[in-house]
Amino acid sequence: MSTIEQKKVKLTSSEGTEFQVERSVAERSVLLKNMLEDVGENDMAIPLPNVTGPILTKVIDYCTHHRNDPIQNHDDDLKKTSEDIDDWDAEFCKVDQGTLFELILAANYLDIKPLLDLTCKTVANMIKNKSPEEIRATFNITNDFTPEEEEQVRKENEWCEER
Amino acid sequence: MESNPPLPAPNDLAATWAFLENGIDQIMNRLEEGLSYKRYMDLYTGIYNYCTSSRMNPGFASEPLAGPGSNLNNNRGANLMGSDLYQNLQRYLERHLFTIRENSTQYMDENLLRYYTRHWEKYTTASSYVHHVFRYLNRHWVKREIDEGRKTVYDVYTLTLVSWREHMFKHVERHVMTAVLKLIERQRNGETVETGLVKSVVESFVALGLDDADSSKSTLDVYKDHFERPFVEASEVYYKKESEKFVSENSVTDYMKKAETRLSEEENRVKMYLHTSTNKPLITTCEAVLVKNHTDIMWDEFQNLLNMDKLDDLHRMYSLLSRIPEGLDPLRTRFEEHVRKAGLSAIEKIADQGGETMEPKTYVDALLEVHRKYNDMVTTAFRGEAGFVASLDKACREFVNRNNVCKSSTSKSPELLARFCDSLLRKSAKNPEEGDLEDVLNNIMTVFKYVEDKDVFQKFYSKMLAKRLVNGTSASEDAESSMISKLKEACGFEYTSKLQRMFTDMGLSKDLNDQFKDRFSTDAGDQQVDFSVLVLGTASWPLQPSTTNFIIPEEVEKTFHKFKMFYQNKHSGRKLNWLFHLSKGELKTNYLKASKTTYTFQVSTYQMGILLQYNKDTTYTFEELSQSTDLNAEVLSGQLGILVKAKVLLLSNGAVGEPGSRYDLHMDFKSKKVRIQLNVPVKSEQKVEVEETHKTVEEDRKLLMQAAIVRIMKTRKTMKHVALVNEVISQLSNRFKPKIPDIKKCIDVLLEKEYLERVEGQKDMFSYVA
Amino acid sequence: MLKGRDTEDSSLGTSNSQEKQTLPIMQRPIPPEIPWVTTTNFHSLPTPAPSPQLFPPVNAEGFPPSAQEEFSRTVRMGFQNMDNLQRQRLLAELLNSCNTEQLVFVSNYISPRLKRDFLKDLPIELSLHILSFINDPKTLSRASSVSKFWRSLLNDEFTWKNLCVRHHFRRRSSAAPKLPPSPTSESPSRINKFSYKDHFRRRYIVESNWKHGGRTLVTHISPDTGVVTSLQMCQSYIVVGMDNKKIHIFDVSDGKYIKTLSGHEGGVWALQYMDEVLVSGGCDREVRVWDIITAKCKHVLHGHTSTVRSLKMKDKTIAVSGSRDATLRVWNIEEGLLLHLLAGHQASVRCMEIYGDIVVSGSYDCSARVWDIVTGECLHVLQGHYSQIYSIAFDGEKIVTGSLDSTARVWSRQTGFCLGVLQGHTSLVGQLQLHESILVTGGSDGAIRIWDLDTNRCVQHIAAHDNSVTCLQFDEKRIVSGGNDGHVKLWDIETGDFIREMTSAGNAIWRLAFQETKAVVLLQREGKTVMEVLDFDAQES
Repeated sequence: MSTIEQKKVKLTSSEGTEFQVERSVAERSVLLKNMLEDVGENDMAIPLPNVTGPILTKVIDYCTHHRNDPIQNHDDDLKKTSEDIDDWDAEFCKVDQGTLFELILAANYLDIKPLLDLTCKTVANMIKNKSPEEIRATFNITNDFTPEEEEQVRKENEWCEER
Repeated sequence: MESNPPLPAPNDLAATWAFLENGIDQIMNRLEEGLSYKRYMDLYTGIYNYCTSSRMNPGFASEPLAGPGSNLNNNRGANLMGSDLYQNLQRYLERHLFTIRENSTQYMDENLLRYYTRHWEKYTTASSYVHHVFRYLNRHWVKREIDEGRKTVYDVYTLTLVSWREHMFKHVERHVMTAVLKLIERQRNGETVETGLVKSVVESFVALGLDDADSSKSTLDVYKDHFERPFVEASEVYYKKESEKFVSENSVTDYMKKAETRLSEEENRVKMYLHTSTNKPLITTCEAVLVKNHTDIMWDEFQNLLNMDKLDDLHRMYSLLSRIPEGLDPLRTRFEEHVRKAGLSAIEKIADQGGETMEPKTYVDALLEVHRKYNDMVTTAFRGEAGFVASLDKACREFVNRNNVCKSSTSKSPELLARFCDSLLRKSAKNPEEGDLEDVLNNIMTVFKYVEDKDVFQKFYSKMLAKRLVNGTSASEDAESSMISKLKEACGFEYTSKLQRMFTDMGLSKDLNDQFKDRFSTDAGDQQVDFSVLVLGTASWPLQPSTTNFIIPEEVEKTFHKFKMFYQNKHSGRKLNWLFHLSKGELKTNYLKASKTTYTFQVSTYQMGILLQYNKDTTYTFEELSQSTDLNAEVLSGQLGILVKAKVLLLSNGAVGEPGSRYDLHMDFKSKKVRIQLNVPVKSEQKVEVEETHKTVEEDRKLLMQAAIVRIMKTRKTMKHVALVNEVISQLSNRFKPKIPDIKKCIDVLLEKEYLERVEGQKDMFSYVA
Repeated sequence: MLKGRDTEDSSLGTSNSQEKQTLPIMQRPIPPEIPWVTTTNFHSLPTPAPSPQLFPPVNAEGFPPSAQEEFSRTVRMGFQNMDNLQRQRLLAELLNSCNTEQLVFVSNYISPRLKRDFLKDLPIELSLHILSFINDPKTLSRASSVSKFWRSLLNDEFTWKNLCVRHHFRRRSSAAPKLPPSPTSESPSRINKFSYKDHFRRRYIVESNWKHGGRTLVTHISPDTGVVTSLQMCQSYIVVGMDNKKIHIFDVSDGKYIKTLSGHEGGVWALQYMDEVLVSGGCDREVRVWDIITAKCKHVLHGHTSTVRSLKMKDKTIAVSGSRDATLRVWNIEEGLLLHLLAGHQASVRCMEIYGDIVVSGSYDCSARVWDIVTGECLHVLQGHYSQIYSIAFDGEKIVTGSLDSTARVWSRQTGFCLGVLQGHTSLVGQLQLHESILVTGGSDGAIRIWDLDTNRCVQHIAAHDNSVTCLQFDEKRIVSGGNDGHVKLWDIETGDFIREMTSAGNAIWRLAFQETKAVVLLQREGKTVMEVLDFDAQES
């Protein structure tokens, strides 16, 4: 991009590992963008007490890949569907559930809306078109309804089956 | 230095808030000490941890499932965490602002402003930090509340503004405004004040304008109601008082200077430190107080300023009055009247001097001088404003066409103007330089623009142009064509087509003569007469046929016939009418024995006819000459008069033109010049010509009007009398101003000739008869 | 060692129920007794897996101390004292020494532990965010059957509001008070509380009832054989005008007959009502103003010299009538006064529409006219059709006329200019409805055409009936048409697809009308005049 070497921003993960990224990468995070603007740049590392090193590595991968994306417009929220995921992003999300879970939390914490949407869409796609039993199996959820309750819930939801 | 307490437990509200309050307090009160990344992140994380602890919120996750038939759907919404933090923040802001407010009471005036703006700036800067630190709350809890239509929940930055409005602004606003107004009044009184204070107050009031219906939008309501209105009212009071006092103690011109200064000061004030939207209400108010309330004295002063040509003051008055509606109207009327009077009196002055024979240059210069002066005034003092331009034009049209010189008829002006043109374009020692000439011609066009009888100008102009061309007295072909193109531009192609045709004929004639010379130059043995002819189309040239017969002197007769043959050969069927009265020749003297020099007489053809008789004899009676030349008595006596006066012939018996008078060739003729110009116009002829020209104008006008009527009716078929008259006037207005009775006469003529007929049963309605 | 492992193996392998019980504890929801700091810890767990090793295995306590037990304890202790890399190395070594059967065991044992109940474990705002990407109600409702937690999460309004927006189930102000419709509801606090979930559910059921459900609320079979000339259904009444001089009134909610207004001395050909005021006109050349409540005729307005063919109300005070006598009359129906006589048409006024203070009329003289109701002035004469005008629609800006010349024309109310000629029908264009930029026309050629008035292009052509289209109506989702072939058909307005027939066939369909959850059809079946009221509302079970 620019010939001028961008100043690096230091980030520290929860275990104390330090990462150096370019400011444009760090600024994918609205949290970091706001803080860098408010506090100004200095040589101090920015502590991220809620993000572990491995997750931060993934997040930085994502932000580096998407560093030049236009800023997302919030008005198109209505049109959003879980289908429109590009190949790189889909590949990026091929991780175990634990990692995906942590990525959602990190994206949310760091305020990186495109990453948050991407990871949430991925979970949404795991729910879609499944029976309750399949959903339970997918996420290892225990059916905690009593048989009576189950019957009641089934009735409650009858209206949208077979229509 | 900042302390770094450990992060509180996420679900512990009291600990979290204590932790946050500490940080917010640092941002709000001690931001200048700096904020580290760690502290910033800790605060954000503290809020994040608290808000995301929602998944453990009891009453949601562990809601017991109700039995069948009972209220199944009583829990419709997830309960996001955040309202506690929000309320705590709200309370904190209230407390924080209460302290600021309490401390403000010890200040007044400028100190209060200083206090208010310092805290406002500090508060808003800190608020934007807090807003960012609370971003997680904004993103989720606040957003959801707003989505659900909660009107009293705002994003954090807006909350800080709303809090300021409620807990600070509402309580101190009056005092702040009093101080602001005092400060501005002091500035108006000439003191130097710290305007940055007002600017900050304005910014604060503008920022506090929040749309109650949609907090993401802003309005100017707070600023308008609490700042602009009292400010404009105070301005009105101030200037009302000041201007009334000033007017009573000073001259009107001084007052205008004062008002001008004040208005520009106020305009600057808005630019410097108020909201731009205030410009209109403030300036409108000031204009009302400073200008509108004092129009009468300004209007009254206008005439004085005109009389004294006070351009600066006139301009000042113009710019002041142009600010208010209808402020300039009386000025325009008075200006027009003034210019008209100035024009009339200038003409009156020269009319007295010139008497009957008005020198065209004097007249035109007088007109131009008046126009120039007031045109300058319009462009400088009145900035070329269209209304004043119109007034100037109206006044000029008036005094150009109706003044002391052209008492009898409006056609005097165009005549004099045409004469002036002639004097410029004719060869003369006084001809201006080429560059100057162009300017003079442009000036002529200025006057020409105002002339109503443009057809009269055209008549005279073409007459004089014809003379210049026939007599070869035109000074410059470029100047001629430049003038014609100006006229064409002003009045259109048709107006100058005949004039242009005249130039064409001149060119054709030159070619013709060349051909003639080529053809006969080889004819040896003939008597060599230097001979040239102009062949001019009757339709384009305003030339009268001769009133007398004439016998061609035998010396030139042969050449004359040769040319006739040559021309008929070339253009059979064309008829040549010889205009000997416009022709001329040169004769050389051989008879003056006493003198060594040979004189050349430049003569008219008639004079040539007379003088050539003296090749046979040296004395003739009037009757003898009359017979040999076949000139009628009037022409003959006129020509003889000139020859006698020039002492070429000597009157030996009787008076010139009397029967029996006798004319001898003056054998001892002497002159200082070698070339003697005898071809001068006869005085009486000139006057007749002018009258005739005016008469032909009348005739032409009738024809023009009739033609226009027929043309209009041919396209419209039927038309009301009034409409027809108006249409005729508008069609002919660039030529002359038709008089309505004349148009009526023309209509009558056409009715008689059955071009038109009255439509039966409809009053004043005519129809076209094909 | 091997043996010991076997023992442990079998005991774990056979105790499925035991495993199930222990799972919630082993799993991620953080037990309240664990200090908060583990949250941070929790976030810092190394990928790929949350490591259950961090916690002492609770189930170990129940075993008697033995050599294996002792060994296991030693191994566990040692393991706990290792760092991450050492642990990984040891685990790899152990796994390398396993056979396939054991590896399958390990795999089955581990895989549920690697799964996360995202919706439960994430902060609620994120769980809702995930759900916002699902716009399929079936998935959402199935999800609510997963667990108690999921069920209560799925009750959140935000998700359903979102869904309503996506499905264009706009919350109509008129529809809102009708919710919740259930008479069996016991909770009074809910009566006025709007719920997006309920709203969505109801709209969804109504939608699907339209497509393949609903019920016939009532069928009235008239003893006589009168021709139905006019029908209006809105607010609280269904009003039917007949050529046998009668006006019948029915209740919209249950379709029951209420009363008959008698008074006209000739067939009724046009009527309209607003609230309790009804205006009617017909062959007796009179315009009658009725009070529906009392069934009294308040005014009989004389003036027309021929049949009143069309009639429209501007409001409860002003009405305009159009007649075969070629005039229109503007009436004050409160006072019973003639306000204006609008003359200009050269032949029968066949149709009319009002918007604001403007009335447009279509006539058998091939022209339409635009009139100002207030001044009685004719603003424009719309000329262009080659034959009689039978139908007209007007939205305040555009006017559409349908003619026997088999075209429809679009006109500007402002300028009176013809904006477009819609060609396609091969016979009379007798039915028109206009909404925003959508125009639907029905022709005597049996066709229905959908036009886009932004481009004046035909976007759908439906061969709908074997005979004239006698009536049609559309809303944002559907078209219902009736034909002289005796069929009532439902169409998808988006695609033009045929969905189904709405009633069993008759000889001819006179008139039809529908609203959100109801439709009324007047038809001739087996020589009788029949009225059917259909209901598509959700039935509370």
